[in-house]
Amino acid sequence: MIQYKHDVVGVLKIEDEKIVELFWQRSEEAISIVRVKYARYCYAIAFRILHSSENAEECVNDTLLRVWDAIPPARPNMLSIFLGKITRNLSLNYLEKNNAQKRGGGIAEHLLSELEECIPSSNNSPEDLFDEQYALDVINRFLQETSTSKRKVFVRRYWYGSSIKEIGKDIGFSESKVSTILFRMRKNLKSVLEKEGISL
Amino acid sequence: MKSKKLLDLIGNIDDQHIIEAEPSAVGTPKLKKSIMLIATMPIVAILTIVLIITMPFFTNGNELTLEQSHDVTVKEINDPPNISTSADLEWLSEEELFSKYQHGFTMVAFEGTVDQIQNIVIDFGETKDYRAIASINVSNVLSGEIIEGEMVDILLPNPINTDVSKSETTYSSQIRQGQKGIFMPIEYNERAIYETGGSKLVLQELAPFGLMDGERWIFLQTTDGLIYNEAAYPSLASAQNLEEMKEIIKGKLN
Repeated sequence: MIQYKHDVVGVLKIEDEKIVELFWQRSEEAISIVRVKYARYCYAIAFRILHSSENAEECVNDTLLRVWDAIPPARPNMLSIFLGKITRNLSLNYLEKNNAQKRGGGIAEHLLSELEECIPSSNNSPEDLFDEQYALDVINRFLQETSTSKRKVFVRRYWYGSSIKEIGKDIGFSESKVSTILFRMRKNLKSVLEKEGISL
Repeated sequence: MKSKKLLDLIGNIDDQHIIEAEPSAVGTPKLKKSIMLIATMPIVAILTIVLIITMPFFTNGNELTLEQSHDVTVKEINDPPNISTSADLEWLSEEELFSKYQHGFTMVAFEGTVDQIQNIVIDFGETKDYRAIASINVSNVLSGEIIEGEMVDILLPNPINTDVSKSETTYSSQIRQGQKGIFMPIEYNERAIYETGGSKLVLQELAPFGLMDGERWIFLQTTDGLIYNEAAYPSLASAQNLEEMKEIIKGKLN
């Protein structure tokens, strides 16, 4: 049994690897701790995508269920990011299933529209195939080779779903500069994907 | 849809890229030093504050008299330093936020005007925390055993000045003298104890009430309109002014 303090902040002091251990032991305390420590983090991610408090709350609850099913066998190195990825995927899936809401002006619609610009043209050679892991490696390499500030802008927009205004304010760029960076990065990403023969 | 496929792929990029770009408002910063507020519920986090002092400070006010606390001093200050803090807040649904009972404490709710604000430094020896005590002139009671016309002191999770940079105090940091608002602090009892190292501070010795965090339980009327955490309180979206907000809150308190 892993010991941790049962006071109001003791639970926050527990290290992620110990929380993961609780999941592996199938202790339901793990869910309670994750809820206290990371529900707000997950909620913020879901709310950015869904723009609905009620739906975001639902996604957070679903995330907690998913993580219970996922660990074990998973043993994430970064629990927060593991949870964040689940929340993000659930939120996007929720939008996909609810087309009416998708047209409601949420940010996901903008993101999808912008990312259309990155899709490689359809005249790829017949041997071009979609290999998910390879495509992911290419995107990671593309990000790695980009400057830190531009990479942050891209990830803030397309992973966290932040608005142009939010990104500009946080990173210290004007909104037009953020838009320009994103435009050029989309163009570059398309070029890289085409060059690598990736067909989406 | 191809762009959805790409958006999904981006969702699985390297963790380091995600961490690097993490927005401050979403962040779960690492705790460096903790402060304990002992409550009755075991697994409940109200607020954990980490202080990183980035410039010297000068105490220039009175020292508050503390009888039950030990190994701690509290002084009034006029010029709090620039500080950086981080906190993990418990996520609560709107219904939970309107509950009159919060983790063993009774929540009160009232409308009032900020009469006075006094910044303070809590000196635990090895660590210091900066807060403020706001005196609110109560004009309308929504919940709790307080009376109209009473002056109520509330301990704020942050000092009030223009330079302070403290996360998780988006709304409480905007409190100013003369401002009207709705405040929903908890009433401190004997279990409201703030401990670090071997020091112990009985919060009732500073103020009878306190905000649990600087993000929720506060609704301010400013020249730019109403300021409050819209994401936490979606049902208040229709309120055009403090009066309308007050009516909705009255109906929601449970």
